[in-house]
Order: sequence, then structure tokens, then C-alpha cells
Amino acid sequence: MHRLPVRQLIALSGIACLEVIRQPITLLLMVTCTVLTILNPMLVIYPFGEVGKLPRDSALAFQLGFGLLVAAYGACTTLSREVESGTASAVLSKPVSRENFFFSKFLGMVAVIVIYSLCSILATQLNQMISHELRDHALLALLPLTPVAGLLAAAVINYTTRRPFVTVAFASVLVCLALTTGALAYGMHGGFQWRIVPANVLITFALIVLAAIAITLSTRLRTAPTIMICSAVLVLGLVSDFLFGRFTDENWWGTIPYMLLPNWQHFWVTDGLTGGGSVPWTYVLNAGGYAVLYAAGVLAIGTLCFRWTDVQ
Amino acid sequence: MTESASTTRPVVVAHDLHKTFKDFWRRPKVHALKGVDLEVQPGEIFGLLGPNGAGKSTLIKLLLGLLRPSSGDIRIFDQSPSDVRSKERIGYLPEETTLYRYLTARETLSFYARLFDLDAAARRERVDQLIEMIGLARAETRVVGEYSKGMGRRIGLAQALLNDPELLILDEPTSGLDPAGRRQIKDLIQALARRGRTVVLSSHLLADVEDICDRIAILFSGRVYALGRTRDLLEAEHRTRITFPEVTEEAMRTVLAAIQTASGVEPDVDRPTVPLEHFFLDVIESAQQSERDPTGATSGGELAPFLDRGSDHDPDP
Amino acid sequence: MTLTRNVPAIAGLFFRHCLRTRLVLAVTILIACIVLAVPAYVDGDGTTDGRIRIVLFYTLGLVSIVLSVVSLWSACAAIPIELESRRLHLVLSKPVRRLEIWVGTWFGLLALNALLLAVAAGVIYLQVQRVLAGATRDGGETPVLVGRRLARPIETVTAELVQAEIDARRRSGHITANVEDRDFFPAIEYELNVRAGTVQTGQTGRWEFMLPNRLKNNGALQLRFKFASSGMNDAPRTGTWTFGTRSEPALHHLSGTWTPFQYHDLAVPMEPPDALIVVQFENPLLGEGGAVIFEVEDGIVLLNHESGFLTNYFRAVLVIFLELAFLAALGLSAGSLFSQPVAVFVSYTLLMMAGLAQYLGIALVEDPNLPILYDPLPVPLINAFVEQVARISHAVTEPITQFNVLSRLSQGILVPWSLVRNALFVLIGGYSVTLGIFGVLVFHRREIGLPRI
Repeated sequence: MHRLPVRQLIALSGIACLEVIRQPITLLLMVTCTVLTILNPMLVIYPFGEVGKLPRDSALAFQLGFGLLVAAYGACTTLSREVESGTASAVLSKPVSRENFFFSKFLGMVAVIVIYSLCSILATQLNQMISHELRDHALLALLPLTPVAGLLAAAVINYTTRRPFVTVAFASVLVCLALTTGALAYGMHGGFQWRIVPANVLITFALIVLAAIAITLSTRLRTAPTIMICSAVLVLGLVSDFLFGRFTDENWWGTIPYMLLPNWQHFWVTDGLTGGGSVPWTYVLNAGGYAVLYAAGVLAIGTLCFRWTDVQ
Repeated sequence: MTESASTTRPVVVAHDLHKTFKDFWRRPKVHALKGVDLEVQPGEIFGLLGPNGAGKSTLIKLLLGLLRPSSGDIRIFDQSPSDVRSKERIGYLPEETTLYRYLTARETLSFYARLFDLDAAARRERVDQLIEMIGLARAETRVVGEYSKGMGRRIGLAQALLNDPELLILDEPTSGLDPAGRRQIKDLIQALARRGRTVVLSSHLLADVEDICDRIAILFSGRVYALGRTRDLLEAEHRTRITFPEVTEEAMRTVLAAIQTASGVEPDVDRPTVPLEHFFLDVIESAQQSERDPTGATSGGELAPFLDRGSDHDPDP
Repeated sequence: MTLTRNVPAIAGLFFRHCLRTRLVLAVTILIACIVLAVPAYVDGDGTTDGRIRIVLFYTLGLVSIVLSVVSLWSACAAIPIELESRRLHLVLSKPVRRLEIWVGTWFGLLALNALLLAVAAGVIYLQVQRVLAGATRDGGETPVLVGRRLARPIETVTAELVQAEIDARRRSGHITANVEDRDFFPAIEYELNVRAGTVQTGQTGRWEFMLPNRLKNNGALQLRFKFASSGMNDAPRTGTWTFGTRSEPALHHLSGTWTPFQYHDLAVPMEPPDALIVVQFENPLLGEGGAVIFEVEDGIVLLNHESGFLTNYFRAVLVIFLELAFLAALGLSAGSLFSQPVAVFVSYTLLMMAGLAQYLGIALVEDPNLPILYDPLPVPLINAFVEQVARISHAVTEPITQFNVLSRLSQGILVPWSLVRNALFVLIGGYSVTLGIFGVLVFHRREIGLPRI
């Protein structure tokens, strides 16, 4: 009996994850992020200074930028759409608590973000390999084809088995990226650069926090206002140090928003990677703790809101 | 159906109509219609019956020009359904009433009325009459998003009648309505047919279809399996029913004996029952005389005057 | 015939729907927040003109971005939401053509944009008036709150001059033989331009202006300049401006002291001549701070009053409105083909590609041989293909980028009616109509009410 809520949570999270992944926009964002990450070392015309720095920073910026869209849009739609379409009422008519239902949506989004970030981590590694091997023309010609190969594989599977293209493509692009990275990791300059992974992980934390905010907002708001507020939180959180941080010692109106808004700068550590540097895992753990606590706080509010939401 | 109607051209003609939905690779995914042939004559009430997925909604969407046939031909008033002029003469009530939730009933009807070639005065008059007819006069200032499903359905019906259509296409017209509302819709459909309008309706509620349709087509898996006059199709062969008032036991025995002697079989005897719908309506009617509906919806009035043109004749029995 | 009946009905419905969903209210509140917040956070140069420039450039700029997002998103959502909710089925069962639905929705979006922009423009205008009311001016026309026609000096740095300089440097051994001319061309060109705008101590800089007819007929001229001091500090610099013609270059003199890194406006003490006007600046030998360097772009220009601020502002807002209308057409066309999120994605991708095409295209225009890729692939066909795509994209997107009115407005430069006319012709007559034709065709071909299987 005690295991029932956990079983429900797993089942509901799985469905939530699948629903978000099956939206074409999620695949589009993921593939665009991957392709741009792999292509950008070739398009950056004047890479002064440290080799691979500019492409690496761009890759992390792509992960954050496109990831925020995946997190915000996926999280907004996963709950509010189900409430509007009546699916939520069908699930809640079963012995499923509202808290479990709400939390499962968040977990589903976490799963989506983790899969998306995995793709991004692999693409960032490919990006670095290209940056260091710019004279290897064969590599230059072949690497951008990796995500395309994933899409082609998905098309073939869709044609032969009639499985949904979008879901298959998500998996096949990930597999193709993993195979290419794995195959090239030991032959390339620098190999697999583990030191970059913590930076990717930190961005994943930021995306999870944004997903928590979006899901909480969508308990009360429809998709459009939720995305608008998420965008505002995103922008304000990015410039929080400038907007409010400098007033924290002087005014309460600077302190309160500074404390309440998520500070995305904690998750952006590209400067730490400059000159062969690395980000200590203790920092990652601390930032992870901040993300977990922030998300927990936001989700607690969301749970309370959803308890009183009319589900039609 | 009138005599004159049967001599004029059919309102709807479908000939060897096929509709196939394809996947991304242009391979057939679903054969929704497979060679449908049917005609709907002016002034008749034509019922489309069939289980879910039989192709009823697809046929209606083809009639409206929302979908295009994969092969075959479909004509409406002798025009292609994609010809926008044919829509001047059509009224359509979809299966789900999808309205603009932030508009009031009056604004909703006014908007749809503006899409027809009607002057402002005529529009206002028709909207007034229809609101009165569907019984939403006291709720007309509320936004549609606040309406119950049944009230939304009534607005849906009203918008279908705005242009006084010659052909009314009704997809599940009684779904979401209470028995009183259903009765009202059925009466309305019959009243319109008596005034020469043609009605095509699809429904799962066989009792409704049986009550009002002159002819029916039963679809299954995209094919027409039965097509004809409702009475002809439903007539039980080799059986006869005699109904007469309460008689004494002795008289009953005499009659039964006579039948048994004449036919050689023993007849069944039971007492006829009133249909539940009739019984329910009687109860509600008496209740309505003392109560007022809290939603603002009333049972509605008579047929809107602008719809009341044409000769009122009895439908073909 | 049904066009005149149905289009207003659909436009009205769309507009009313937006009003009732409180979209307008939400955006208005957002605009109010921006108007209040921007001046508090963006530091000006401390002058009234500087504050007005911030209101006109940053506030109006930010508001334009917000309105662009609203316009694009609303347009992308308009048709997909109608389809998804199946309301479109009902509308299409009436005598309405799909063209009318598309055009009606576009007009609805225009009305929405017009309302929001009018609110924003009104609030920003009030903000400008508030700044002006709080200022203590000693009379004279505010150099920002006007619309002035502008003339730039005749360019003295020609391609031949640049090439001659490169050749000279090759001869002197400053450029080695293994480097091609094209690698140095832009840098040398810039350097020569900077040199042309530099006035060393004890020297006189000279610029010639060919005045357009409109500029000649408008009366008194003004000189606007902005310079840097080679000492790289902001200590005021003294100098003498001389105005005249080619035959008599020193007709009038004006001496004074001016602060570096700021715009200064001077009344030119002579009637606009029929021919060239020659402007000279003398950097006195005894002056402190070394050379005076006028900016390459807009470091020294001649202006004269042609329009008041309100009419100039009105024209600028009109151009912004036309840009919003173009975005609405883009979003609506994308929404005719895709679901809402995909339409938003496609629209933004197209806009970003346009930006990238501009970036690559400018590089190509400046140097036709510049490789697009950092290291071109060894397959000439691919290189040629990439280059051709970049060229075509540049050619297609270039006309859209010429309508930046914010910098004009914030510097008191005229936004001419010809620009509004061009915007109307290019953005509406050209791009919006092309997008519209594409959108309507796609929408017309689309089957409505496909089963959700």
C-alpha cells in the first residue's frame, strides 16, 4: 500500500516526460541546439586567444538558451494543457493525490531536461574536438552530419515500423552523438574533456529551477502568461546582480527581489574554464544544493496552489 | 418528404466517395470512406448512423469542404463544397460546440450573422428572435465561457440557423442536452423539415434518429451498409401488432381464440408502456410551472419567425 | 465582394478577443514598468538632452522589442489556436474564404499593434515632456527634440587611396609578401578614415559638404560634432571652427571650448551656399591634450531644422508600426503552416537567419573574397554553395534592415516621409504581401479537421 504513491509517481512522471518529448518543438529545439553547437567553431571567424574558448562559451550559451525554452514551454504545457483538456480530471478521479500528480509533472520535466542536457554535453565535446582539429577537413565535413544521421535513422525507423518519428528521433540523435563522441574521444586532441562537464551540469540545474517555476505558475495561469512571466524571471535573474544586488545594503526593495529571484549567474561558470581551468565539484554540489532548495521552495508553493485549482 | 421535393434535384450527391488519410510518407494510414454513394433529397431529414470511426464526421467535413475527397465526387446544391457560395445556403452544428469563450451570446450570434449577406437591421432581428427561440434571453449578456454544455449547444444551434439555411447539417445535435432540450431540438428539426428545409444529421442516439428521420444511412468502417426509408428498414417482417383499449377478460379470450384459429399460432399479449422520454418530459413540464431555471436558460419559445416560412405540411409518413 | 463584409468582422472579432483575454492590459502594464524602470537604471550623461536620448532610444527601443514579441507570438498563435479549438471549422462552414480569414486576422493584429503602440508612444511622449519640464534650460531649441535633415562630409578615403597605402606599405616592408591585400583592406580603410578625422595640435582639419536641395532651402544650418581627445581624458578642448566656400574657405569663425565624447551643436553663422560648404577645425598649437579625433561615423555632420519633434516622433512611430505589421505577417504565415510553438520557432529562426545573412553579407560586401567558413572545406562546390546562399540571403534581407529610426529620433535627426514611404513599400507592399500570398496559399491547401490519430 505504501509503495502505491511511488509507483504512481514513476508512471505519471514517465507519461509526462513522454508527452513533452513527443511535442515537435522539443525535438526542434534540441536538434537546433546540437547542430549550432557543432557548427559554431567553423563559423566563428576570429577565434583570438585560447583555442576553443569562444566555441565552448557559445556551446554553453546554446545549452542555456535553448534549454530555457525547452524547460519553460514543456513545463507550461505539461500541466496547464492537461487541466484544460480534461486529462487531469481523468487522472485525479483515480486514487492519485494532487500532490503526487503535480510533483510527477515536475519529475517528468526533470527527465526531459536531463536527456536534453546529455545531448548538449556530447555536442559540446564534439564542438571542442572541432575547435582543436580545424585543419582536419574530413572531420569538419562529417561531424555536423551526426545529428542529421540521427534524424535520418529516425526517419527510416518511422518508415519501417511506423513508430512516432519525434520520440524515435530524440533517442536516435542521442545515440548518434554518443557513438560519434565515443569513437572520436580517444583519437582527438584532448580527448573527452571532462573538465567541461561540470559547466554543463550547472546549466542543467538552472533549467530544472526554471522548470519548477514554470510548473508552479501554470497551476494558475495559461500557457502564454506563464511563458511571459518565465521570460521576465529569466531576464531579471540574469541581471539580478546589476538590478538589485548593488542595492542590497541600502534598501529593502533591493534586498527582497534579490533574494527571491533565482540568480542564474551561479550556474554560469565559463570563466572558470579559461586557460585550462576547471570547476570544482564542490562548487557544483553547492550550486546543486541552491537549485534543489530553490526548486523545493517554488514547488511547495505550487503544490499549495494546485490543491485549490479547479480541475474541469 | 414531399412529392414536389422528390422531383427536384438532390441537395447532396456523393458518388463513389473515398477519403484516405495518409502518413508523412504519403502511405495510406486510415481509409475513412470507401466508395460512399448517397443522395439527399430536398425537404427530407436524412440520418447518418454508425459506430465511432464509421466515417460520419469525415463525410460531414467533406460536405463542408473542410476536407477534400481522395477520389469520387461530392456535390452540394450542385456545387463543389469548396465553392464558398454553397455555404450561403448551409447551416452547420458541429459535434462539439466550440465558441469564443469571451463573447456573450448576442456578440457570438452577431459575429456569425455578419458573415452573411444580411443588413444590420435584419441581423439584429434574427439574433433577437433566435435568442428568444433558444431560451437564452435572460442569459444573453453572460460570456459563453460561463455557459453550461447544454446552453453552449443551444447557441451552437442558433448560429447554424442564422442564415435560414436550406440545408442544415447537424453533427450529434442532441448531445449534451437534457431530455427537454432534446425534445425541443427534435421538434425544431421536424418543424424546419415541414417548411421545406433539408436536414442531414448524424447521431448515436438511435431513438432520436428513429423519431425524426425520413431516411437513414448506416455506415460502418467507411462503407454504407444500409440505406433507405426509416420505416421500410425498421419494419419487422411477418409480424403484426394490434392495439386496442382495455377490454374484459372474456372479450380478450374471444379475440385471442379467433386469432389462434385463423393463424394457427398463439399470439403474445402485453400492455404497451409509455416511452421514458415522454414520461420524463411530463414530470419536468409540471415541475417547470413552479420552478425557475437557475442558469438563466429557459425552455425556449416557438420557431423563430424568420424560420417560419414555407408551407407547414406533415412529413411523409 | 465578401471581402469587405468578412474581413472587418474577423478583424473585429480578433481584436475584441485580445482585449477580453486581458492581453492588452498585461502588455500595457509591462510597458508602464519599462517606462518607469529604464531611466532609473540607464545612466545618461547627466544633461537633459542625455536623459531625453535615453527615453527615446532605450525606452522606446525596449518597448518596440516587447511589442515585436507580442506581435509575432500573437500572429503565430492566431490560426493554430483557432484550428486546435475547432472554432475555425464553424467559421469555415459560413460563406468565408480562407483568404478573408487570413487578411481579417492580419488586420486584427494591426489594430492590436496600433493600440499597444499608441499607448506606448503616448506614455513615452509624456515621459519626454516630464524630463523636459524638470529641466532648467537657458532657452534655445533642444537639439534632440527636433527633426533635422543631415548631410555628411564628402568621403575622402577612396578605394584607390586605400590600395595606394597598401602598396606603399608593401614597398616599405610593413606588409610581407605572403599576406594578401584583402586581409588588410578593411583595417587600412578604417585607419585612413580615422586619420582623416584626426586634427593634430597646431593643425587644421577640413571637411567639404555637398548640401542637398532640401537642406539648402530650410534655412539656418547647424554643425553637430563629437570627438575624442588623444589624451583619452574628458578635459574640455579649445578650438576654432571656420565656415566658408571653396573659393573663400574662411568666411566665418567660431571659437569655443567643448567637452570630448559628447554631441555638440553649433549654429553655422552663414546662409547655406549654393555650392559646397567648407568646414574647418583648428586645433591650436598651445592647446593641451594633443590631437582631436572626430568619430568616423557621425563625428561631424551638418543639420538643419526641418520638422518639429512631434511630427518626427509620429513618423518614427509609424515606421515602427510598419515593422510590427511585417512581423505579424511573418508570424501569421508561419502559423498557417505549423502549430503555434513550431511557428514561433520558425519565425525566430528566419529572423535570426536574416541577421546572420546581414552579418555574413556585410563581410562579403566589404571583401568579396572573404571566406564564410573559418577554414573552407576542400570541396569548392560546397564553398561556392555556402557563399551563394549567403549572398542571396543578404540580398533578400537587406531591404528590411534600413528602417532603424531609433538612433535618428534620439539624435534629433529627421525621419523623413520618404523613409515612411519606403517602409510602407518595402515592409508592407513587398515583404508582407509576399508572406501573405505564401500564407494564404498554404492555408488554402490545408485540410481542416484531420483526425487526431
